[in-house]
Amino acid sequence: MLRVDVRSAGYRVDEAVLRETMFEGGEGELVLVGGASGSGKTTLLLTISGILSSLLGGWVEGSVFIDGEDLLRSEIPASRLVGLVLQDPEKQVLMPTPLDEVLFTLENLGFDESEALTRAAELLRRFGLFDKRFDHVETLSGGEKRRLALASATSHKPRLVMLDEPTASMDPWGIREVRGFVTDLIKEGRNVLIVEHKIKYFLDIADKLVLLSLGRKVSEYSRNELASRDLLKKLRGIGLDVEPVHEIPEALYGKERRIGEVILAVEGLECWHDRKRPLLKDVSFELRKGEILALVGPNGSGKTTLLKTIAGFHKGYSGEIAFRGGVRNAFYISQTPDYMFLENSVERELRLATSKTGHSFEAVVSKVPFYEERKHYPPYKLSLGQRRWLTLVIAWAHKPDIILMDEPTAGLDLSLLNSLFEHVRELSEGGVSFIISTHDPRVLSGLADRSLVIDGGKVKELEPYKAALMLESIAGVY
Amino acid sequence: MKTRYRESTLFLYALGTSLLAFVASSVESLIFPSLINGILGFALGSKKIPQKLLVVLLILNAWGAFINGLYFHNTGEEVISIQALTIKRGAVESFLIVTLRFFLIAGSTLIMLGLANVRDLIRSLERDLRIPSGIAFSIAYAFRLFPLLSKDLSEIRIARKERGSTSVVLSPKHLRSILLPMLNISYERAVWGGISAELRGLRLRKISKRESPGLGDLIILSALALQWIISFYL
Repeated sequence: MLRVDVRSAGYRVDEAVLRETMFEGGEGELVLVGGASGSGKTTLLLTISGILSSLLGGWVEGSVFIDGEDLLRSEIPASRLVGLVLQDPEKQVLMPTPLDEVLFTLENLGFDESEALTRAAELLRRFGLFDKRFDHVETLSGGEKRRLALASATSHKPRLVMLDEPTASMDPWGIREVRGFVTDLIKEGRNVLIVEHKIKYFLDIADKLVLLSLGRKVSEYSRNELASRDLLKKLRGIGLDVEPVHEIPEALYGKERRIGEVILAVEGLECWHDRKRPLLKDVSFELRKGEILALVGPNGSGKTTLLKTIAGFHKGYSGEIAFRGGVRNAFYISQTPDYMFLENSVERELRLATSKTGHSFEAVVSKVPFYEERKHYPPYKLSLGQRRWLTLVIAWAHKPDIILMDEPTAGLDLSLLNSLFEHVRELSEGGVSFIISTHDPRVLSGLADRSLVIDGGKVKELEPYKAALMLESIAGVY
Repeated sequence: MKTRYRESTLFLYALGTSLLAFVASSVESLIFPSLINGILGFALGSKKIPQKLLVVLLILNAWGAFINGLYFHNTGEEVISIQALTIKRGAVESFLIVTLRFFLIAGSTLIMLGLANVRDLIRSLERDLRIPSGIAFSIAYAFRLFPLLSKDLSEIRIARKERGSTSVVLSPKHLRSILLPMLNISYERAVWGGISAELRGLRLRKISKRESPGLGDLIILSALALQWIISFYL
């Protein structure tokens, strides 16, 4: 039994980030915690796990009980009772090989060496990583790293398993795996807590939904209440991603738009990292002026490689990439916005952008709605949505005809997503074309004019709405 | 006597040679240990650390050493003159000393990384040297970080090219604009790495019984002593 009663908690003295948040979860129950970016979801996880007060120098008033033990005051360390799967497996995985990674948790918690080895082997088999147990973690795919993160965080069979935005940056195949993993935990009778703003992926298996807003619990809904269409509509209204694509009214989908002449023609493209094993084969497509083209496929299918090849940064390829109509190049925006920043304040970043591009500073600043309040901030300290926004403005300032965006919606809540869509639409109306690598159905149903699906190294065109349904179907919610 | 070596001895070796790099202040005293460690380290370490990263680090260091020599030590007799640029003996010596120091430190660290398994290294540092778990873990975490740094560097170079900056470091300002994103990304990674380690019970680790040194340890420590002797007495 989980009982959370956080009256207030924060990172700095007298600065509460989380207030009046109480809820309970029974054995074998899934509690889903939803809320927009900045609502306090991650702080809640850090509070429950004891990390906020024990490691980050923060404070908590209240209690967190699991099976009668108050985690915040108990003699038993929280790490024995809790397993937390972080949002980004890149940041959670600490050891160089999968075997080391799982053994690290077990050794820390005092498991006997032979028992630890047996359990680690068992877990790695279950998660399909046994054959790769001695490989370096950097050779694993995104999905494999996610599975490794799940295995290592739960290898000691904790009573409470918490997952922080498990669908962020995850393809639908990975989402289906996580859903399966969570279902297994529920069957085993563990308490499971998931914080997520794409709650649609877990609504059907959740026993309870707790909503946070501005660091406070604002409502709680039971499994029966979650079946109500009216409630889902209301939740969507407050910015939660609650409905799979097929349940969203047609009116919300992208409208057909007028697009211009062909500006990029790709013909017979083959890309590789290892010449003997090409990642993409015989790829041919065209891109028109002002068009938004989505590139869909699982993690590791070659989406990023294709974007980098078009941008001229990946040299392992054969075939033809022809820019037409006076277009000279394409601007690539990485999935991690932080790579793009070269200065230590937003103002300096924008000045650098203008000095290289000939735009007036005022014109560039006018594209950044948060400029006045954040101009002295290091770009790295901005929220994820703001950082993505800033990279897009920097890209736009370089006056490219084509912008290549790699997974731009990862980690964005519905409100930030809609802002990003508006910005992309505005630029495309002005004649900028986009190729967006994604496995987010929302990009397909709400933004893309066309979509290309990468399957087994080949590319085929699929109508965006159908591609969105395909992704939702793979994830298990359609 | 056991022939196997303890991972903590490799750590002591890396520490000892790094100390030598700081203490030795002439080309003559640095050249032997630097070449031995540099060649051996780069050969062993390249299995675990991307070669590209090693080469980039080497170039960054050489360029930094050259600029440093030119700005602060360009004194003495003239060695070479290229148009308006005159390079004097002091600059050449300074460049060689800094580069050899880098070779020595990087080489011995790579020897340690190349020969040690990460979990064994943590255990050995805790068990044999009584180093606290948090510090032992931080040292071992470098195994995981090197490939990530290599990836970061490659992505930053792409971003720089896109933004009209050169991907080659030409001045301290360029160096700063490469280091800034790398440090920021690494800092965030370190914070979450710390959280991950704490959540997985790093604080609860129990230290096992100390292992007695073997023949391997003796050979490694002798090699270290020999390098100190050669550097200062021969």
